[in-house]
Amino acid sequence: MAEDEEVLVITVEGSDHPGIVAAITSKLAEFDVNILDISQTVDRELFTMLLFADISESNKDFEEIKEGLQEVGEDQGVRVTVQYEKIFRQMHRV
Amino acid sequence: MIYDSDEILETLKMVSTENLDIRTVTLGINLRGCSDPDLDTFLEKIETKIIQESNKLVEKAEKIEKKYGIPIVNKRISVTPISEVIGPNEDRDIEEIIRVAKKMDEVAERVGVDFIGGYSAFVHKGITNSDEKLIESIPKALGSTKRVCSAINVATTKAGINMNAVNQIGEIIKQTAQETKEQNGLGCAKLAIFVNSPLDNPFMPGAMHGAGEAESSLSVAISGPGVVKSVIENQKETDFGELSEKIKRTAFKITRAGELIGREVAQEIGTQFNIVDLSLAPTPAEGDSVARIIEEMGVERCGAPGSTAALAMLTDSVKKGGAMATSHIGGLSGSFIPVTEDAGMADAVKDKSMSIEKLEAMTSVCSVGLDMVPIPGDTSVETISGIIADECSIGVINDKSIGVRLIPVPGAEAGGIVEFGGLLGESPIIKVSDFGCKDFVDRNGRIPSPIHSLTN
Repeated sequence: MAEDEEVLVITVEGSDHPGIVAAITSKLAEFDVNILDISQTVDRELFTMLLFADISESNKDFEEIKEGLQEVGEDQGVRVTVQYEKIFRQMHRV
Repeated sequence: MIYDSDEILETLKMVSTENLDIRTVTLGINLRGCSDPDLDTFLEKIETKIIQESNKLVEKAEKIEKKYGIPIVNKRISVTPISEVIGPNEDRDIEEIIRVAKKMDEVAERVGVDFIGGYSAFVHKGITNSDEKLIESIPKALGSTKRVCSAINVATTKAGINMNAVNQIGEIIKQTAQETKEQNGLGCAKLAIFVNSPLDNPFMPGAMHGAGEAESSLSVAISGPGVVKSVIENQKETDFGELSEKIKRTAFKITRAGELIGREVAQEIGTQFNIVDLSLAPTPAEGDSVARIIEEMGVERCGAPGSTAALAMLTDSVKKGGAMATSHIGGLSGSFIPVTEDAGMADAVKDKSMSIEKLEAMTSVCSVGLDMVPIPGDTSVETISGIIADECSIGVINDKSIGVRLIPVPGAEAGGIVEFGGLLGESPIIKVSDFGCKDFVDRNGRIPSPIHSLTN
């Protein structure tokens, strides 16, 4: 992953129902955030989505994006965590 | 996907359920240039310097906290040991020196930090005029401020133990407890007595920006007993080699998180990054306990036989994992076993599994010594000095850092409960020996430094 990319890891967890992916991804589209990778699982009705997104071309800054996504999370009744990808690289790669 | 989903979710779980956090980012500031013969000018220079260096600390730390989703619990400041700063004008009286503590307190409140460390002195060999005045001022200084912390270094491996200072400090601890008797002697929670004190410690109350440090620099202290406990849970069949491996891997991850956050906060406020303190620092939160890790390893109650070995293995594994994760380790970097601040330790005292003698034995293999130990209010000055001397000898002989934070709780007897609240926690008062050591501690002079070639 190139250093100049501003990559976020967006984690969405909660009880499964229709529309969670749509709500999150349409908010990202509204913010001009490019999705790099996405994965989603449902295990015993527990919905988990991991999404990698590049915000370098976005019309919003990190805090606005984080707040925007957390508002969507509240509407959908799911927990949304937004973090820079670098923390995972630091913790999980030697 | 470049990460396994388990890796992402593991990090989230560490924060949400296992209390992973950055315990503190501590900004060290040099105050030597503030000396001035005029007291008001001196205080004004201290204020200007601290504010100039630290006014963005809280804001920028909060920014980085949001960026990586890992809480930074405390933002703190450490300064040059104040006895060095007041040194050039040693004729000041004690009331004037207390105004320095009050100024530090006021400025800390203004910049939004919860503690400021460095109302401190190094007296391991001898006591200068300014050291003497600073030490005498401690009870009133800590009694009349909220945020100021103090540390006195009374012994080093190379100098031995300054028993004159140890003797004096016993009295200072008692007076500090009296000055803060309405709050159960809380002033003593802001005072640590050290052996081989690190000069770059980011943890209170021993934090300081000592000799050899830059004009300013930022250090970080991680925390993660809860995370370590969770990786060794349900591992009854695991042998010691594998157990150590699991702890090392976890220590690596949490240290890397700490280093990244420390570096970025330093960059944001325009100072240099100093060190990571690897210490496992517990809080009263359930599960965030070093004692519970020892129990998880198979010791029925912390303090039972096996506890010292378990703590030694834990501390060593944390150091090995942490050393792989960062090149700049400093501060205390071990395990903390504070009594009131660790719910598992407090329970061990309550169940009579933990005594002050076993605590002393355990401090020989971790880092912070007898920490937050509440003792009966009528404990004699000589006994307090004797306990400090014993800890000093463990530090001196084993060439390691050790601190002592004893709280003779006014009016309290062994077995009674003391509550300090918040991060300082609560526990029963620990019994101390009924036998005294007056004739021993009353001898003048210094216990000579030990020989380190005949290691038996």
